[in-house]
Amino acid sequence: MIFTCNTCGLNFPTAEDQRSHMKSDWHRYNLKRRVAQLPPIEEDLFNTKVASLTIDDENTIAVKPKGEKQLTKKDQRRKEKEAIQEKKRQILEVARQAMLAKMKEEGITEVTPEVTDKEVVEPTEETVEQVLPTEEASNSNEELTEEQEADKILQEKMKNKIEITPTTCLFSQPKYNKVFDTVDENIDHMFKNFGLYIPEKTYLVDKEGLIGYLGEKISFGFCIACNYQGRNAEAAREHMKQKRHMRIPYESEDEKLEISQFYDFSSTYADVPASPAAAGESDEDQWEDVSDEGEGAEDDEDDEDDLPPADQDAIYQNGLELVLPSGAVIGHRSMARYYRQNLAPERILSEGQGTVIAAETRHMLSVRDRQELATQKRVWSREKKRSDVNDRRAAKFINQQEHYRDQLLQ
Amino acid sequence: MASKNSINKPKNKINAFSHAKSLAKKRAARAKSLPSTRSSLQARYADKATTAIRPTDSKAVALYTGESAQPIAKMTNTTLSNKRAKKIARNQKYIAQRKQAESGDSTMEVESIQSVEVKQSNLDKVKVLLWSVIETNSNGEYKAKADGEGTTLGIQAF
Amino acid sequence: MELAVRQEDADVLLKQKNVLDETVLDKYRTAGQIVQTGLKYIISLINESYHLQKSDQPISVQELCILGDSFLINLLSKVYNNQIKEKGISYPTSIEVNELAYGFSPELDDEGQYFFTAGDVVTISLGVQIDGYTSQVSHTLVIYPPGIELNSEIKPEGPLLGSKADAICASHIATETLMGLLGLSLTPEKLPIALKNEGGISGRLLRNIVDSIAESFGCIVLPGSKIRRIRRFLAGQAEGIVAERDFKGVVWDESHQEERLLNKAPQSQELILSDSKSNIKPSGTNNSSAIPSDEFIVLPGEVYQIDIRISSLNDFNEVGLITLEEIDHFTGKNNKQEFNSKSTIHIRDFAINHQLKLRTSRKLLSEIDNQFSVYPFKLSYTSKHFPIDLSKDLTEQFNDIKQDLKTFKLGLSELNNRHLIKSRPIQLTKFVPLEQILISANPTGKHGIDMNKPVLPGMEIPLPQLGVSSLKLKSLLNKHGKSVTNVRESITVVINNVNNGEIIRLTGGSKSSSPSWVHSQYQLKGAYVEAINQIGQLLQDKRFGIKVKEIYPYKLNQDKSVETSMQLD
Repeated sequence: MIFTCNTCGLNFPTAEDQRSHMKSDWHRYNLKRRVAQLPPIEEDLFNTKVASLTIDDENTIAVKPKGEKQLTKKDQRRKEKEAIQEKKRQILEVARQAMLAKMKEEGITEVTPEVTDKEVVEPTEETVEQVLPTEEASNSNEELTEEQEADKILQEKMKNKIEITPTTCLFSQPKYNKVFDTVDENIDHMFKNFGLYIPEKTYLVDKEGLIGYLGEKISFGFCIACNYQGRNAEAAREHMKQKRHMRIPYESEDEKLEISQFYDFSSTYADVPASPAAAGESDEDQWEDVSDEGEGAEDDEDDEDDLPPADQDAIYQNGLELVLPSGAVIGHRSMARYYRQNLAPERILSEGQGTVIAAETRHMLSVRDRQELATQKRVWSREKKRSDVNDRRAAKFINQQEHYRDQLLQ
Repeated sequence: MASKNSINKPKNKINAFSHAKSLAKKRAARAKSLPSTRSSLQARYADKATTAIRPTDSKAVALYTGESAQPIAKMTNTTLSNKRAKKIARNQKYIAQRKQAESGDSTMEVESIQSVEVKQSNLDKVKVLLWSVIETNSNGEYKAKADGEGTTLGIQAF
Repeated sequence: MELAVRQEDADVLLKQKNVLDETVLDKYRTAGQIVQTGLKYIISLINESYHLQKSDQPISVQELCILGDSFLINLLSKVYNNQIKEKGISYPTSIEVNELAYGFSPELDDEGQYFFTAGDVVTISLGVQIDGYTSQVSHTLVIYPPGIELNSEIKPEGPLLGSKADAICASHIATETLMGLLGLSLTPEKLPIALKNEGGISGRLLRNIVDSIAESFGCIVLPGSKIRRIRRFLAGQAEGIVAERDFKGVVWDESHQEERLLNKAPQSQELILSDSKSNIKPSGTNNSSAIPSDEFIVLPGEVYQIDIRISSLNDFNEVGLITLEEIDHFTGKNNKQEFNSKSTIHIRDFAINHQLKLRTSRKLLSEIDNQFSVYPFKLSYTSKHFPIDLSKDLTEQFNDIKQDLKTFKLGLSELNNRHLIKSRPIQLTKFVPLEQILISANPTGKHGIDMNKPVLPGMEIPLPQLGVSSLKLKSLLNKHGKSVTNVRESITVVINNVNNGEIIRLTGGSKSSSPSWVHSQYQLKGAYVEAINQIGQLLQDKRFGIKVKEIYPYKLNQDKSVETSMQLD
């Protein structure tokens, strides 16, 4: 018969040994680790740990017997308060010392009563050493808030991060375990249950990437629709459910750019050559992972540069109109009433008709038309003037042809 | 209309109604106390007899001087209507006749014999002239006269 | 009216484009040549059918009209094909017999049987424009009874006599004399002494000479006759619709007959005549340049249309006026009028714009706007089978056109109702005894204008002195009107000042329209006899007289196709 300890993974020849082991601190410690689903540790390791702890303990424990009885909360608070006050006083003292030293250097000596001097000097010698580290500590704290807070938060986030694969439902709680075989199924599920609509699906080339990116965002505790930051993924999910933020924003330029890497619109602008930067983008594309602000901003600019230049833009905006590459103009909804008007086209007169109209003297003009006619005439005269000015201007350069061009060879 | 005590009473309507009613009462009282003019609201369509005269209303008190009124530059509200002027003229004629008859002097009406001065209009002149043309033509005066060998045009061909 | 033309454009269109130069003259000449050929063609058709009796069935007016138009279109299709945008018929071929005065050009589907009988005078009118440069011709010829054979040629037995002959003589002489007079504007030093003190060739002189010629033949110049300047696209095709700016020409109407009668009156003329014209207010326009007046001088470089219609009064013993009566399709039915026909010539009024409801009418309107420009048109021009191919079977093509006419009928009536097009009324010449006018009650005076009657602005009231409106005159015509034969001669003449100055007779003349064989018993008389005779001599004199260049027609082949050799002079 063998006597064992499953927790620590040991064998014992006798029951005595086993019992004594069970009573040991090492076993207890391992037992606690086991509850915490941690592997057991060796005895040596345990002993070193205990040794390091006991050194600390001895310092504190050594004080303890002096106080004898257990400290009450009230006492504790009082003590803390006193300590703080003491600290304050010391700081004030140091500051005063520094001031006096300065004054001395400047040559202004002030006769101060010796008694106070002594009283003051004595504690300082002891305290300076104590004070300095605290100052350092506070300094380091400040630095932390200024520079490395983001890093720290990130670290925290990283700690909180849980893995959401592209085949996992973004919004369901993990307890339901909504994991699908394919991304498509997942998208379908999210569309049906949460109304997640993926914009411009026809041009979406990297579905997995998009869902993965969104999942990652959620896993860090971000909401995908607004700039909410939760403590963890669960909080983000709860927020999205509450606010119905289960959608991919796709309105402003920034929002479009954010997920643009998963899309490929090159088929829409046939005449625009595919951007050469496309190949090199893949490594930069991952900037969200790093989520360094500086880098992100740079990348943003890059993205803008990668867009086709304005003159060959596939779609450009003209006030309230969108001009498509086909030449068709799409008007804004607010102007619908004007687009719906069915105006007669302007009449174009032939020469004969123009002649007859020019020779016409019948008086048929109504008052309203007369005003219209006046405006029309003003426009004509302005046009005429402009063309005259242009002619005059053009006449200046008429003999300044740089290269001789033979008319016969044209 | 729901009563004032009903739960779902149309409060606005009731208030507006009572307000309008009180205003109407006041207006009626004021109208009663004041004489209505033609311009005042309640007597807009009342006839002249029942309304007070405004200072600008014309008074048919101008003197009949025998000739029709000429347009004058200054403003007046004493007028004489054409109808009344005619009436006065006619009456004056009758009065004159009666006086003459009373005096026993029965002379013949002078005006009746006076030959009416015919004012010949342009149209009449034209008509007279044209009638004279027709007269002369009946004598065969305007007919073109055939004489000589006449005129021949063209050649003997189609 | 939403339409207006910019002032600069108007200047170009109205002035610069009318300055004669070689290209403009060439367009005029080509148009003249086509018109001459068309006239010759129609005359030859009439001769063959009626005089030579080559066909068993005489040719009807409907067929003559459509054949003439097709012939013109075929000729036009051969010239100026790429250089210009607008060319076409400026005056649909119309053929008026005897008392018919104007606008009679029946469509093929007209039920009436219009044939000629011996003794009829037939007026053939047609016109063509090339790039707006228009030439027009009217010629009156006589239908003789079947001829006799003389020297192996069939010839008429004798000349036409009587009042019709008087009118033909008067109109022929008047036209020739007027042409000479216009030519004299180039060389005023050659003017006969009798006319020298008139101060140039004025409108009044032209009127007086024509009146005196008519008078000496016992005839009268009909309302609607005119000697007018024509310009590009403004050849009088829309008279009575458009009030044309800067109208220049002599126009006859009933008021001139009234004036003439008043002048005849034996009593002294203390009168009146001065103020009569001035207080007429033209109804359509307030532009004085649109109102015709005789106070103008003929200038070299202008193009004139001489359009003289004359009727003889010799058949009537009473004094009277000759006026024109419009036939519309409706009045004829109730009144006992024998002749009745629908008007077939239409013209677009560009001042009016209207959104049409029917699809067919919209289609028709766009076709009219695109195809016929500002010139009058007939419905048959819109047919797919127009122009007729003269070398193929005609009856079949006639039937096709008849079918096509039906499709646009409805659209046409909507266009008419909206005043987008105006139909040109068919007019008859009617004699009204003066007595009847004088005795009839006329309570309304000159109020009331007959909108159906196409008149120039300022001529709305036919008898201003008597204060008789056109409506009143029309009502008198129903009872007392008598039909009169009228004769029309119309030619287009260019007073060419480009090189050494000559007069170009675009239309008419001996080569296309020599006068028919007529004899009148009257001779020229009156104050201007000598002057007229002198002008006649100047026209004959090739060396020192008035230089006249006549445009000759193309040669017609036997099968009525045309030799395309151009020959001028």
